[in-house]
Amino acid sequence: MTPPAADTSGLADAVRGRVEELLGPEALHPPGETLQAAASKLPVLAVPADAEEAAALLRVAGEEGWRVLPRGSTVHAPQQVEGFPSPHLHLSSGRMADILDYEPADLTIRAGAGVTLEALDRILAPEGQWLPLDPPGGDGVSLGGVAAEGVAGPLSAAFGRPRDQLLGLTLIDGRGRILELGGRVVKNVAGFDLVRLSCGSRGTLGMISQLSLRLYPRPGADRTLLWTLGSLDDGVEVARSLAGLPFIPASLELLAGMDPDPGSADPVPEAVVLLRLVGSETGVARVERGTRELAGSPDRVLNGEGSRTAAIQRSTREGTVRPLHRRHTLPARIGRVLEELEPAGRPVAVHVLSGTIRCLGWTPAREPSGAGGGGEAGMEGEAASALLSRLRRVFDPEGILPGAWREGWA
Amino acid sequence: MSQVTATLEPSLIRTLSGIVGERAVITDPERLLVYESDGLTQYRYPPSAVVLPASVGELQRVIRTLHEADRPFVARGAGTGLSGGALAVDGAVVVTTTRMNRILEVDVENRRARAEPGAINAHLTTAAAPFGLYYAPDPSSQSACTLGGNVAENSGGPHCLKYGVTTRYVTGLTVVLPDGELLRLGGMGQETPGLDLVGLFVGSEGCFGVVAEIEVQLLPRPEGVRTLLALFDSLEEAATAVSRIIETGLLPAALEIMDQATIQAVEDSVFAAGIPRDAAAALVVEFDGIEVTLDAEMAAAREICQDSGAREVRTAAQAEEREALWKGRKKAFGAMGRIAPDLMVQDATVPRSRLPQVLARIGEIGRRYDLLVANVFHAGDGNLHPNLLFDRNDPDELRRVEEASREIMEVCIEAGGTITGEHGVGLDKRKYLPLVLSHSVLEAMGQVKAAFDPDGRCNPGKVLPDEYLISTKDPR
Repeated sequence: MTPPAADTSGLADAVRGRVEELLGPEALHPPGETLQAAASKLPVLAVPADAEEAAALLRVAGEEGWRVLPRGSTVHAPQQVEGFPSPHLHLSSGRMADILDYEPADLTIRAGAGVTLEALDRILAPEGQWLPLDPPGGDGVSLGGVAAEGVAGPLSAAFGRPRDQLLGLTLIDGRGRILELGGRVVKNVAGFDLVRLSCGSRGTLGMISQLSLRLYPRPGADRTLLWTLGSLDDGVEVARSLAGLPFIPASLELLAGMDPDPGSADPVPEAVVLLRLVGSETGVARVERGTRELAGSPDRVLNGEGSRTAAIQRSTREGTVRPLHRRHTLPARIGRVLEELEPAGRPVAVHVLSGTIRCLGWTPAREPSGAGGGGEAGMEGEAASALLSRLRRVFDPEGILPGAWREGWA
Repeated sequence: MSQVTATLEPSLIRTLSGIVGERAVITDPERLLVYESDGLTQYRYPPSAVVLPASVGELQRVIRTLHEADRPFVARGAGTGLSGGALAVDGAVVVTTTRMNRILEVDVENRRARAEPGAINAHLTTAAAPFGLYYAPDPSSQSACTLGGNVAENSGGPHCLKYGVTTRYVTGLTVVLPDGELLRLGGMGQETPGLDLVGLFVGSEGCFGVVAEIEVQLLPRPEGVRTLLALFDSLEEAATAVSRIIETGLLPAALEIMDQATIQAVEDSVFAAGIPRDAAAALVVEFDGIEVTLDAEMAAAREICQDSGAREVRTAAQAEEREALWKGRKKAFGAMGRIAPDLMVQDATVPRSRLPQVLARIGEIGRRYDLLVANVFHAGDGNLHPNLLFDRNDPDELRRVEEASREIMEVCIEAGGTITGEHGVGLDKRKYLPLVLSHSVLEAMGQVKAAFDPDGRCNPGKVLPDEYLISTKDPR
């Protein structure tokens, strides 16, 4: 069935009415809103209470041909997706925000998709544990959103990406099937890895309602060393030498044209290199000594909560500035790609060890050579698009979900 | 459990020989016997032929030829798999990657490497060692198993506790789809936009196509390593120590347990590591990382082991002692060959905190079925390997092994675990899969398989129960 071409106020009312009829007024956002009060041009935002309710909505959407946009928190979920005009129904995991299962001795947790990173950390901190994920958007983003986006932050240098912390998740696909994927143990190869497929699928396969995650012991020491450099070239040079450390730091970032301290009165430096170290105090101090040999004394050192908060501020900024262009390259090619991007005073954030480059608030004039980011899954050609389309149809045969991944969505 | 050899049409043999050379196509029934089984020896399925391509181009042409001839095929690396995943069910043609065994590149600055699928796991670390780098996933069979096989099985190993399994390290793949199309997935940067097809392909057990080239991330070799051996008078005490170590916030590189049956098998073999034969359990704890942090971590672990009832805690002071310990641990499966002619290497994962109870239940199951169960496992991950020793010529013992295996799986699932942590489902565990996955999930997996392999010719009869293996061009 082909979804209707354009939204009309009548259809929005019909969708709203159907959601209310199926799940009651509390499943609509704002809750209890009446049909008359609804601004008819606004999309309908449904907030199902659990996987069963979400499945019921997706089944109806399939029958009626509604376009559905699953979204986690509202932090970086788009209102519109290019190539997917006027969704009839937005699906939020806002009411699936409970911790479902937490056994600290297992270093794993199962939580609703609507739990934010911040709320999760409040549960984990007293147990001396943490989830080392710092995706763009800061700690207000929801776990479901983090998994659906699959985008890593600088901490991935040491701890891996969201896909690496996911032990299992529940996906409600475009057919309205509730798929409980993976499990809650740290090693699991029972069946094909649909957990990894779902992570980063950005709502194209369905909505995530809950997740099981791997946790880590909370580090005793958390330190960020900061070098201010006079030029981008110098910044690249320092970042490259630190990348050669025989230790894996928690993160290594290069910022150009950006204030490392948003809101401070100091002039914006040309380039800043930030090295974050976490672990035992002895270990952090040892690596710190090693960095001084490579890059000289840092201009500033942030400790403990200061180091953590500054990192969250950086990731918040990276996730909320628009437009946002993300490119990937090999770490050794970062300097060359930056030259081609010609940032010259415009803000760029680079995760040095993963080769991720983010242009914040501006669009590069041309595509740099030797950087990826445009093509889906790094694949090109007819065989690739045919395979992707077959895979999508497994989960969304009626084409009710945003089918195509689009640049600039992160 | 075996089949008779099917035969291949002479014209197809000629075409395949034309691609890879006559010597690289095996059809002689005697020589095919080598390929009738993998590391799980109770199943035997002789292939109709074995083809050994030497390059990506040859591999692609072989797969395309088999596609055009409508022949089922199975990719195979070193044949060390433990779930019957590389068996030639339905008279399939085995396509073995052992001639594609080169490490293509070690990119020091970007800490990554490219290799052919037949390259041996340990050879990658050997190639990276001069640059202070290594490849983290270290299955016990790493001196023989191939990287292509590791990708297919999403292999683990003792050091995956701290470092994670294969999927974390594979950054790109070149694959040949079942119709012979060559696809490049991921690669270059670690984060490729769009669906994570690399992640989907890793662990697909050869059911989606054949890996032709692999790009992986390497890690800098840790500055220091310390290894501790704690001996216990009960297996449950050792498991309790493991739980406590994790709970305390220590993150060892490895936490491995061997029970008494395993210790005795190892000590009777050429891999003897000097572990007292009367110990009920040996726990190996290893820390790696920054040299100055290791002694404090070792002291903390030593204290936990002693508090948990360890009768003796030893430190491997010299590199040779550490190597002997690891050799004993990694060759334990081989050493068990001295005790019984056949070994069913089981594999399941449970939440770490449930290890003591689950181990007690497994011991009870072994006694009830009158079977010798030897446990050697990745305790820190909760990844159990209860090994059932038997003689496959004794039908009653074989039946008891099957029944005990099923009960062990049920106990692990009941504890919140799963039926395989690292060995895969293959042929052997298809029957258990519905115990952990719902009908909807199995149906979706069957449809995903059909999206890659609409004709159902790529590693037929594996992973999913037959009713979910749909063979259709339309996954709907």
